[in-house]
Amino acid sequence: MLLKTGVLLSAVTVLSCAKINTALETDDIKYIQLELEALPMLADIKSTAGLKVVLENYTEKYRIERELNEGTTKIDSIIPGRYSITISGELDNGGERFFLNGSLPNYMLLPGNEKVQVHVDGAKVGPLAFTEIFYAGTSPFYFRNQFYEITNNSDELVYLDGLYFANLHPTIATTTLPVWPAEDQGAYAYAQRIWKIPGSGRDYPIKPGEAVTIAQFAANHKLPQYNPDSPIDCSKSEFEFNMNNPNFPDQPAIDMQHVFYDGRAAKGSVPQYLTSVFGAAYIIFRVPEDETYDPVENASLQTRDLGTTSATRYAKVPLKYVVDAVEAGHNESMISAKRVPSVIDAGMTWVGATYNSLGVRRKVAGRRADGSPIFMDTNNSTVDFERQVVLQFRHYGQGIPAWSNAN
Amino acid sequence: MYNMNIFKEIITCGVAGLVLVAGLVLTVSSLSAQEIVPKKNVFTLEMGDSLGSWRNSRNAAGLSWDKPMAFSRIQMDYALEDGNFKRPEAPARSNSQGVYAIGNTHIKDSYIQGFLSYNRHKREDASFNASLIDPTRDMPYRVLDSNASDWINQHYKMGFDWTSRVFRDRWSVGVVMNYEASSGAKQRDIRANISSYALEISPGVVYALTSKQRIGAHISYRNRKEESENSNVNVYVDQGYYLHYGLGHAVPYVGSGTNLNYKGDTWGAGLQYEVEGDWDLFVSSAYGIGAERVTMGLLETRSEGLLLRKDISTEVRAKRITGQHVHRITLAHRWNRTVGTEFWNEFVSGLESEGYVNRYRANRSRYGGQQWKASYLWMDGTAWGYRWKIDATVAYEKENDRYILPESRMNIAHVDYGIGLSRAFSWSGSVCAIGAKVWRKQNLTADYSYGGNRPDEWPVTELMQGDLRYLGASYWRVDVPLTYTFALPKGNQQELYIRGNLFWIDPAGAGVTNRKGGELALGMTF
Repeated sequence: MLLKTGVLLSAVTVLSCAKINTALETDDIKYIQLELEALPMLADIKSTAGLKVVLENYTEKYRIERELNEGTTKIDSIIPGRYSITISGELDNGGERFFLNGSLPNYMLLPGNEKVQVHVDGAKVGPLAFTEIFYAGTSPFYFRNQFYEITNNSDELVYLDGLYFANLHPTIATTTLPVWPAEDQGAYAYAQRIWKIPGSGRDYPIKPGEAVTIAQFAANHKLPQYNPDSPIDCSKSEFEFNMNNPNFPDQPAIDMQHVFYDGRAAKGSVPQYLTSVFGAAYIIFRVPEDETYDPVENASLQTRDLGTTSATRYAKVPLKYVVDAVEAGHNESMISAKRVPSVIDAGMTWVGATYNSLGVRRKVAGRRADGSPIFMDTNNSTVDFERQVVLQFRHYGQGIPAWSNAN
Repeated sequence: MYNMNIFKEIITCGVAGLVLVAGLVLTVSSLSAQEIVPKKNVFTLEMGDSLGSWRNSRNAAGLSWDKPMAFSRIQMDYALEDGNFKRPEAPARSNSQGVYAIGNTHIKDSYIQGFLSYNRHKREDASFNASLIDPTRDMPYRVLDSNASDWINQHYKMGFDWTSRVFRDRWSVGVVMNYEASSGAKQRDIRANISSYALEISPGVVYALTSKQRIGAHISYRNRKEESENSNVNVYVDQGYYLHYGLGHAVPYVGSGTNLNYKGDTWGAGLQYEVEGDWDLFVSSAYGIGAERVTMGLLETRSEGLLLRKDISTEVRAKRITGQHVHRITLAHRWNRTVGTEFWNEFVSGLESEGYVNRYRANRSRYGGQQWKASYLWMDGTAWGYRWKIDATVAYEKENDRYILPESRMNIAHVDYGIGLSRAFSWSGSVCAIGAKVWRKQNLTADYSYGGNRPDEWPVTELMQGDLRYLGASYWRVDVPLTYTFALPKGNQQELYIRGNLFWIDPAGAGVTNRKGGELALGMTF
């Protein structure tokens, strides 16, 4: 009995002292020095000196901006923490201009972990880009006015026919990230639901600088039966996600073609296509003409979240198909909960609240000769997007396609 | 869930056991009290508490040397306060109702005293807290939200002090055991449902060097836990909130809050020395060291903060009784240091094991304070208490807090002094005392500098600046206590009493008006 009591008391003493010992063995925080090396992926590029590096710690709101030196760049006076490291800029290499970028999202820049290498590659700017997204809804609890604006950010005519739209899993930013099959080797994004713009191939052309919108429900939301406080009238949207809900009937906008949801082509019983009012992760992608993509019939393009017991099926979208991706979360603190692979979006954008009628809008980097906007696209939505903007279709004067009902 | 069930079971067993012990103490003491002490009322009990030496230490082994009067006392009380001179987390208004019972007895040659109390505290319009029952308990790691809300808090406390008989006219041993359980409920999104317990045990020993000199030593251990769970009732509207790390450094979030789990252990030890002479002298000193870890949810690997607290307190009490005159001089000093450790955790996905992994931890905040205090008490004693009582105190206190990177500082220093006067009258077995206390807090230093990157956000502009205004304010406080006690007809040593106190705090130049309140207690001694 005495022995048992002694053992128990000893165990209690040891356990109760563990916290005290941990605290006593901890040192004060100190600044650290980052040793950063940019590794160019293009054979022609020998030096990355002159590129801009940005370190951002979103939770603590630190931002450090420097220019890369030859070889290793040392940056001191950094408070340890989780940083997104983004390198970007233009280089003149033998008279040829290269726009390079590379990033390392959510890097734990901590003592013992200060030597960092970032691969920088030629920036691949997709011809189409999300330019305005509204997901937060309008008070009180009105969410049917969500929309997604897509602009032709290239210098060539683009046909929207066959362009896919998807939202990724998890539908809401969470630090409990899914577990995907190891054999995928990070080559895919994982979609919860996929839609496709219909057309025979040349039905929906958009010229450089023109934009279209896809609405959850393409009605005039300012009408009394909807929500007069709604910031936007979606009745002029070109496309809508029609879920065959008799209470919110089909509108004149062109219906998006449903492709995939939980392993099937059917839309399911959900009465609307609502993406999270906290912000979701959205992609548009296009399948090369010589390839086929059928995540419903091709089981190898499906998976479930191996981190749970849920049987819900998600569609694999090869990253090489992705034209543009934007990830949105609750606020800057959710940067640690990124779902989108950093190669297609190294950052995250946010509006900071739900039902506040505010959206996110891509920044303008320049103008074409005809005055149409060229949008910033560094594959980092934290950098590329203005946040908490008052919504407006074609805010920067984008054109309206000739076939649009907005004319 | 399994752990919580065990946790609740332990609490239930602990409460039941302590209720049994305390109930036994009260029952036995009420049966035997009448036989031991000829005269007692709230005044004589108050004098015993003021003049006792060992009972004001943490060493119960010396209680019998205090020669405590055998007594029992039960009390119901009601208190309220109102006014905008307050810390930002304090309620704009509050009221509380409580019951309290205390008693003691001798069982053969050993001595035991125990108490029970319950208090229901309604706090109205309290802001900047969604994870602590007491947001002013110097715990920087907490959830902040700006929605002023009502709270319903309930507190249960019980405990006993036991001391053995004196062995070989030299040795006595004793133990102090206290248990507290509290619950708190925030009534507005972000809701908070919080429960806490604390268990403290302090065994001690006293050795009589001579018939007039004694030395004592004790050790103490305290274990506490506080678990807070946040949620939104209106699931359609998410609330903005912050996780606070210290001195206004906070990270914003949107949603329905989180769950924070506070677990702390504190060890302590103390020494005492008593000598009787023209002046009875009692010197005591105690050292405590403890740590409290804050985790998100119940995951040990997802620590948000760890506080290491060290505390040294020293007190010298000198007492002299000449005829009816009672003098007591007290000198006290307290030194405390707290170090705040933060953790950098990373979520690691994986098929076999996934979860949070701690990558790094470092001390990121330091808090330090010192307090010096001197007081003098004089009473003109009588068989039924005292006719006059004068109590004067002067104190100096300073606090220097620092958030290391990015550097922020808060420095507070003030001198406090005050005097209280009480006059008691006795007639026909009744005693009535009326008094007044005047207290002055004179601020000497109050500054706060914030070096972070969110200087325009409300944890800095409202919480910290509001705290600075309160802590840096000079003010006058006036208390008017009134006590009336009378013997029950045919009651043998049974007295009823009514006790009240009104207070008024008038701050100067703090940009606020005042704080006022009162309390009323109805009780019985027997």
